[in-house]
Amino acid sequence: MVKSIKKLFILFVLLLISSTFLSGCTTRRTLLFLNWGEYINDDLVTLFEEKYNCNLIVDIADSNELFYAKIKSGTTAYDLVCPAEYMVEKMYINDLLQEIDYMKLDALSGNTNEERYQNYRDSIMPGVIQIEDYLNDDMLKLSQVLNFDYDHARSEINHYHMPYFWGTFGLMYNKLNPFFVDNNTYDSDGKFVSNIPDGEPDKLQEDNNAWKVYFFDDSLPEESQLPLDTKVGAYDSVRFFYGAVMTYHASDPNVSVDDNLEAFKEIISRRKYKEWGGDSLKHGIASHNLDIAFAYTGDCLDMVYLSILDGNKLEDVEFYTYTPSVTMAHVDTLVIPKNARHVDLAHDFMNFLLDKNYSWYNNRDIGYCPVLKSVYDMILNEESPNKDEYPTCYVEEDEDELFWKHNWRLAIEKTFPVVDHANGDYTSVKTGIPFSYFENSDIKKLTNAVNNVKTS
Amino acid sequence: MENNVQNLNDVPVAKLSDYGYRDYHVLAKIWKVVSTILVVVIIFMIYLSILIIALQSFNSSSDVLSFNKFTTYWYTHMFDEPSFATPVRNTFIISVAATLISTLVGTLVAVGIHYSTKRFHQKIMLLNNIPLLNADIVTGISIMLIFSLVMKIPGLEYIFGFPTMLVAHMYFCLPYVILNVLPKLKELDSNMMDAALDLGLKPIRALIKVIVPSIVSGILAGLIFAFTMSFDDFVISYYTTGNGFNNLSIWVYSSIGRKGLRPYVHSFSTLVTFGSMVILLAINFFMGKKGVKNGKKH
Amino acid sequence: MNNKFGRLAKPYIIWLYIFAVAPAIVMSFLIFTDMEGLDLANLKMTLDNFSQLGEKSTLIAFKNSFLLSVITTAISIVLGYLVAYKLFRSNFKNKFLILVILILPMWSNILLRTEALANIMESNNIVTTFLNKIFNSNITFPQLRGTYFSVVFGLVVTYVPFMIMPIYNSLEKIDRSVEEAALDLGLTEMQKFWKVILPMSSKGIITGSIMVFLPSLSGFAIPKILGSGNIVMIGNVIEELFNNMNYNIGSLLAMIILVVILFSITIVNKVDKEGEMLL
Repeated sequence: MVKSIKKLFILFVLLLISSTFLSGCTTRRTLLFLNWGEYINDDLVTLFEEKYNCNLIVDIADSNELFYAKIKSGTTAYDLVCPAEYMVEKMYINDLLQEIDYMKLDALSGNTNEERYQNYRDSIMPGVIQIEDYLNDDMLKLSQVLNFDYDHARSEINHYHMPYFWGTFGLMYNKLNPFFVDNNTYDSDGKFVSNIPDGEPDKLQEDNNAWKVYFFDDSLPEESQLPLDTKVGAYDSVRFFYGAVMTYHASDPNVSVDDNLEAFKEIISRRKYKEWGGDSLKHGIASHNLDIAFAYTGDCLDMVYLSILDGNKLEDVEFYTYTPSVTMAHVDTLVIPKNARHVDLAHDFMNFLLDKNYSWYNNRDIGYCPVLKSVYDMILNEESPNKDEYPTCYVEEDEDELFWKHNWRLAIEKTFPVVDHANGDYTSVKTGIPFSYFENSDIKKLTNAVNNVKTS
Repeated sequence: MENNVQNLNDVPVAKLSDYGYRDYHVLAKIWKVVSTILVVVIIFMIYLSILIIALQSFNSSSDVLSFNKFTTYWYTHMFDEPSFATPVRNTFIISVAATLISTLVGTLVAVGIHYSTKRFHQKIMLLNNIPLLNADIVTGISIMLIFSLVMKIPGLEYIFGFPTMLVAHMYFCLPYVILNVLPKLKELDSNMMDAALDLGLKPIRALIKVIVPSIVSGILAGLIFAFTMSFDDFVISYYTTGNGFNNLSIWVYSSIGRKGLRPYVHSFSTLVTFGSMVILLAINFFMGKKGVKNGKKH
Repeated sequence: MNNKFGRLAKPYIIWLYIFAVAPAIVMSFLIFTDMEGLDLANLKMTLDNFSQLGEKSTLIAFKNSFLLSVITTAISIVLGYLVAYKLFRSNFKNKFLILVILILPMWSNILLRTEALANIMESNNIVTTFLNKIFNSNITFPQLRGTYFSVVFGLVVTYVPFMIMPIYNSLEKIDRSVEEAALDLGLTEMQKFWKVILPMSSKGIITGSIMVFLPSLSGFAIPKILGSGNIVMIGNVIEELFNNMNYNIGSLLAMIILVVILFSITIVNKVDKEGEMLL
């Protein structure tokens, strides 16, 4: 008996020692990256680690508020964080961020910091620029309210972050549900056509009724009303859901909470939401357990890509997302916290992503819209990285890869369309209003309001 | 005469039940069957989630909600994703370390408690219940608060991570060890220790040679409990970790949403469950004689 | 020499003061402050935090927590007692194996297990698709996820092992001769159970109830996943508050939970002075 215990004990000690050795054997620099879940291609992590001889540890948070909490509490000295634009505002206001040194980003050209920033700005999608400009104006307003200095001409806030992915919000829905008629499909040339038979009403698009349908507006005729027993999912981040309600109610997700709290309460209690979730919503729709949910368009594409990889053509995917003409946009963006320990490595990572080939490779796994115009071009032209220059992120062009690239292109074209791509016009048709910073007290009021609805 | 017979037939005959006796034989039999079925159902329910996880581990699709094709692919490609291998390794590091230290320290503390004054004994047992019964979320936040204050000391800015999680795990593992060892100490013949000391053994040697062998089953039970709790813990780890040190629970919590968990997580879990079943059965085999002895007591 | 060993326990009590008592003091302080996280530089003293207790959502979260955990405990007592009693009556006396059977599921991650339960509580799930593949049918399950039932079910199957163990332990301690005496005195099996065995195992029931009640009361992962976000319990509120850096109201609610727990600990101490029944 004693012997067996001893053996067991020795076994445990050996396990402990060996595991400690395994973890401690690397003395390489470590980049601590706080990111959203599954928001980076795992292979890209390896590529970065090899290229810069370092470790890249990706930690995960599932809400913007949690990003803020993790930086503010300072329990971890993250080197890179990926919050959305309104949290960047909050972090900036609370002095938690450091400015990006564009001189460290060799992928950009220019002799001064400002020249390089301009160079960067020229390379990104107009949708992102739109969000950046909104952010800049919003900061000017906030600086007057909260009384701090802000350099609007220099677009100061945008020197503190570097967009990672961006996208819009939409309504993800189950195509098989009889209520929805998929109005956008593509013919064999990849041209945008409508497949709604003549005379059939497009219940979502007519008069831009999407939000009305989702929030059960009584001004709609009964036959256009999404029945109350429909399985509807709601986003459990109060900031986002308030934005959605206010986009419907006031066409602006950022209207003041105090003025609209009662309307918010009334609107969210019209319907019993089957599920209040985050990422679980898209799984609910994909498995037909939900019919419609408010979600990131990128989240829908995540699921669409999985379906394409399973061999389905884009038009055969059983769910899709609908982007109302007035909606919200978001940009998830890289920031460097003040207490970061590996600032150079963080810049290296940004530099790494400025290479369109690596960004393209990263984008293969993630359903959001690329930030760089060059990456968007690659996807739309169904290009691949050069095999000799980028052997690590080149994918063998077999039948599966060609199928994937074609359907990937269709999905991006359909979800993040541009007006006249061939002539170099990248103006996105569908973008939206970004979120802006709310005070903690407002968030508290909204949380209570949502919890009241959930529990009543 | 005829009248008499008539009368005899008319006389009410007392049945056994009229004396207060009820025949429960049939009922008892039914109850036995029903209750056995119920017990099987309950055990099945406890294992239901394990069975679902096992089913998911053989699913070729990475969509956990729909079964595509049967495959054993995930079992052979479990650690292909580096983002999964690290938390698994961390989980083992933390739970093995926490279990070992808690078992060792907990046994010593239990011996200490056993030989201390009655008042001290009651006081420490009262406090000892707190880690065990306190809400995980309160415990996690408590330890986070303490270390958030510690963190403000210069030089300890980066304390969050392995050290904090280890302390937190030890904090809730120790009571399990102590509570398993104490009853065994009580069963101990108090003269034994005195005899050992009289024979000239140093206290430490006496502890190792005399006490430990007789409480070893308690230590082992404590060890298993501690390891289970540490291995399974999510909430406390979630609040006390930092600087990139994540265990499996935290990893699962944060990646449950996006693309969903790929089935390799489920195959790992299935392997751990059935692997540990084998290990524990093996331990039971070693302890076989003791088990029988325990059984004969009744 | 007794004192020599007695000293071994001294450091442990200091450890408990640091990690169990000190945080309670810090939290009691936080209740009266208003700041973001532990930002001591911008500390303000206030009593505003108590107004949160009047919020409907907080009250309902408390009601949900108490109601669901009481129901969970009641169901667990019945089911747990049944299993413990059956095991006790069976010829199967290997306590170690019983322990193993009961704690083995815990070696799979609790979130994975809860997700698996949530999975089969959806109308289209892995089992239906599996069965539909095999039988080429079109089965769907009832939609249970998001209901009180699903949360209670999840809580019961997760925590019932903590009920079985203490009850089994207390049954094991009953002397065989007491049972024989009861039968000799003319009690039926039924009466023997109600009048002798049940009262003698009440210690196990009480400790088991506490082991089930407390984690059900304060947990947040199970209601969050199985309730589809529709069922808010107090643990969810606390988690949300701490995630939003509102340590003050978070501490207030956590302290209320702590009071309930301390109350339970005194019950445990009354029932068994040396505190060995818990396992």
